[in-house]
Amino acid sequence: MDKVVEFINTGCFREALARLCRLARQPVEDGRTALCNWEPMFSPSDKNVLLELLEKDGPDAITRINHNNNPLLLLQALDEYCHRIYGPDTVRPDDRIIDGFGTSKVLSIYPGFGGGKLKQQFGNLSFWLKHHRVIPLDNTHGIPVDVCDIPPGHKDWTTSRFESAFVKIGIVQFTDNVELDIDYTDNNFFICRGISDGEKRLDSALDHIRNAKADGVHLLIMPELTITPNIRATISEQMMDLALRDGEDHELSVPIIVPGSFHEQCKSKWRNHAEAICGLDGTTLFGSDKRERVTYNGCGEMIESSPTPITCLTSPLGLIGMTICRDLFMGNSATVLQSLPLDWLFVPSMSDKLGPHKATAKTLYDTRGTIIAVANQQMPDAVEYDQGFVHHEKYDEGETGLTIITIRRTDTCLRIML
Amino acid sequence: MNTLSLNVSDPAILVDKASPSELFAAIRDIKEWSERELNSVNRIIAVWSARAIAHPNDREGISELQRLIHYTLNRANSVATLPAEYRYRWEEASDMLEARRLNLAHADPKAQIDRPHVREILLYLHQAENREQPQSGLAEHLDVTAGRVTQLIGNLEANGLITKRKHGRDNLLKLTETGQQYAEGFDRKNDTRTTRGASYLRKAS
Repeated sequence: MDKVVEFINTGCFREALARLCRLARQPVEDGRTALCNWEPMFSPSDKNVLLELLEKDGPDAITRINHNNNPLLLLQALDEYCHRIYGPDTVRPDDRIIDGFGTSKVLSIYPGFGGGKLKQQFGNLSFWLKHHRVIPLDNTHGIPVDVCDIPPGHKDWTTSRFESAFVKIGIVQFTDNVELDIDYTDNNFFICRGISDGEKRLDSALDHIRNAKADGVHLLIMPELTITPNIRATISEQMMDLALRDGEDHELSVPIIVPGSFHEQCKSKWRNHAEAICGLDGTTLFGSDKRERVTYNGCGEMIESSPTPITCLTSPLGLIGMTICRDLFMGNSATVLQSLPLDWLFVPSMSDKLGPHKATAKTLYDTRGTIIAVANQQMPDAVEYDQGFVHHEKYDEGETGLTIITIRRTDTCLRIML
Repeated sequence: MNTLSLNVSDPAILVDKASPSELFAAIRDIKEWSERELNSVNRIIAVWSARAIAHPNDREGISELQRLIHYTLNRANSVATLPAEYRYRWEEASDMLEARRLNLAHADPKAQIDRPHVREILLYLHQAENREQPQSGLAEHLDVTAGRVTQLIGNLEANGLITKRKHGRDNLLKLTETGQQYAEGFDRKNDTRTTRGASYLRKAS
């Protein structure tokens, strides 16, 4: 806390805010966080006084707050003051803040940014921060985190696509009987080198995107290991062709698409990689590499390359994250991912059981207000499998393999309108 | 679509002659990024950026150009190693365009209308039934400082929603035709946002 005071005294308000958020997230006894201990000290009437003082005295009002007796008032004062002096557009997602513990990003948010009312409850930092989200980029597990923005030239287009009060999510399951070409290497590992009929799968993927666009879907997610790097590139090329030919509202222009994941070689090492792309012209928004390998037929998944940082995207819908299959609930990466204040989490998956996925989805929704969308594909030779889901509910499969779930953005609970 | 050739004496003339889609397609068609191609693309980006920034209100054009720069940066990087001087120039052009885009986005009257204080001021002037109202009265009505009112009025005047006329030591404010149209659209009784906006304004200022 002394360091926070030092930051304030030297005029480093964003650094102070980032550090205070780190302190709030620190674990105390019973698995709770320091924030839980701070919340009973807060009195709502203090905030009105604080706003008046901030207007009258500026940063001097912050220095007069007794940080030991009321750390949350200090947090709110810093949140308010940073908002006033920096403004929402002066801070860009690539601005990094050194907060003494490590590096953080202090993102400005605006009304309607992500979440839902479940974010607005005690025990959640988002409840106390009106103007910012603070994302720590490093952690004790040594797994780097990064935040990226929608690429230049795509922001107005994306924002205009998310203006409705509803968000439609499309979950794809391929029913085209195309099989995986799995290669077992000598040292007990497997990789997916391709699929039995690439053209058929490309057509299926494009059909799903086309149908999703016709149904007004905003977010479309395809399952794990269902495409190849070539199919991924072709999808983008086709989107670019259509954007040049038909303009911005072409037949594949679903705002955000996760076209499944694929095994690919990156600098001679294999990885399982998924990307989210912008449907306007196929531009990559952000990517995710799988970290926890699965075992199939006694062989481990060949994941050799160092994975990219856990990346999230700031969008008009809020903070979006992505992870592949069991990374959602297994290993240190899951712990880090679950600690982030995400609003949406996309999970391409290929699993015979989705029980752990659903349990994690429920917990994350209840504690952090994160809406999780899982697109699941049947494993090769699996007798039993689950279809994907949004949040922790299960839905009947649609005829075309595309299930659409509509969510009201401001609801306290998800309201499903099939 | 026939692809445009960038092999012309001055590629800048293509900015006038060709559509953005044609230019995009031409850049997409480049197979080898030699010095000549880099110079051509660089010239097009420079001229096009300067025009887009000088244009009074062309957010779509700016976004289109930003997409072209973003694509070109990725494309040139993947085909050959892009010399740093070009990368920096193009990134700077994109940053300038982003600043201009934000500037235009904030100046958009539709964006202004959604702000609580704007609704409050427009309703106040609308209730005066087309008579000019003193600026000092507005400060009193909103319970904010005179300095804050000057800032708010400046925004509204710049967006053509109100007119301001000097009268002694005070200013007289009146709705323009556009402002009148927006104000008529508000239903004060049903619009809770306005009341919330006023209280927010009093606190924030």
